[in-house]
Amino acid sequence: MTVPNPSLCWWVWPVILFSATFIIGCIAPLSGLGGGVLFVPLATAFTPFNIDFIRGTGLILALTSALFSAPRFIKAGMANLRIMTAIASISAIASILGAVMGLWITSALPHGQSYVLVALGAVLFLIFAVMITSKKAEFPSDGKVDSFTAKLGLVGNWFEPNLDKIVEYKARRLPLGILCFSAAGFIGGMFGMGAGWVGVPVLNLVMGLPLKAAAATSMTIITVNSAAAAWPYIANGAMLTLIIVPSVVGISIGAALGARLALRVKPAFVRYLVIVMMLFCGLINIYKGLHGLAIL
Amino acid sequence: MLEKGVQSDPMNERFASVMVILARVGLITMAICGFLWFFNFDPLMSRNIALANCSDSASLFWKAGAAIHTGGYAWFLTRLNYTDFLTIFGVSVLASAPLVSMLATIPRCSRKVYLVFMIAIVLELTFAVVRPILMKGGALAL
Repeated sequence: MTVPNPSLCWWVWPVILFSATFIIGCIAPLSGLGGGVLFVPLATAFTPFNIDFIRGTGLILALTSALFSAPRFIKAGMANLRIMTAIASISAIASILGAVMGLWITSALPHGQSYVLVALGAVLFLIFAVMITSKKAEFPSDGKVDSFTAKLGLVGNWFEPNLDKIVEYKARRLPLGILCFSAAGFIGGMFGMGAGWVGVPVLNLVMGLPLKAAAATSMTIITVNSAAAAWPYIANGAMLTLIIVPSVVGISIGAALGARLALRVKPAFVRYLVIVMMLFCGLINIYKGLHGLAIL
Repeated sequence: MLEKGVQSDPMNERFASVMVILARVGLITMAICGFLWFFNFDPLMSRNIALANCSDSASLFWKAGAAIHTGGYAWFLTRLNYTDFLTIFGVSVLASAPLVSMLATIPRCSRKVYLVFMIAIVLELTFAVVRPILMKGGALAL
């Protein structure tokens, strides 16, 4: 386990965290990932903070960015609250279980932090696979709506200014969507990450929502999942001002700039940069975990 | 504002408005109190002690640095005269935003099936909040 260098001034880590989260905030909107997904692997790999505080901060980062973007999407009619309630009513419990399990592993097992680091490395490879293989469909073709989803009337529409028309859509395969979001909620709760990396592909490709509606609805689901998972971390004391404040402020300012940069920078370049960065962090976390278990 | 011709769900407006208010209150509380703590204004735990113990697990960190036993919410709610704990109070306001927004939206829900889903979410989020208090001392009392 890394111990902070006592010769370092107290302000060095907050400045590093602010700078790093500012950059994460800039590139997260371009890469299609949430801030928490990038923050947790980087912080576990390169900072001396205990993984409890890193996961707690990661969840609050995911929650904060979702809380500030979701209402805008909801008011514009882009986020579908009906789909959100149907999915989150199941996935929130999975998020709570993930958070409780994650904290239990680090507090009850002798080398708990090392186990979590190895598992986090493995999850980063899973995210890598999802990012590489998933294709996006801006307006998925109409597919057969199953009877369960049809009974719930999961339809939506919003005015798309680029097309100057109202876009209408019907969701399908809700049970599969719930299953995927529950798995993502469990992983998000356990490792302190949002579920955007799996939420958008699931809503877009599995449930047939247009890309914009998928991204917006995913954000609203993240508000519920992240909030549900945050409470065990708050109760356990896994919140530290030294980490949370510079990180939340950094990512908020970075995200505001990132939204403007998105119009100028090629998203494909940033996407590959993030993929390489996550693979690198995954390897470092697995190495740190195995080193902690005295295997390497 | 919705464009003419787009069907608006009445529960959307309420949900979004309540969420915006709580998100702003939580973020402002957290940021202001956090900055005060960074400038050494009424902290319980100094910045140097926090940095020295930050590689410990959360429960050990608070025990070693401030002789505080975590588990539940009394550990920070009873110390709101210190800026480090006011920051955590701001975080808990942020975390309560979806629960309060959902509660405020329930009266606007028009279809029974969504009412059931919303009540389920409210119960689950309430369980997430009260579980650490109910299970205090048990195997899952984290």
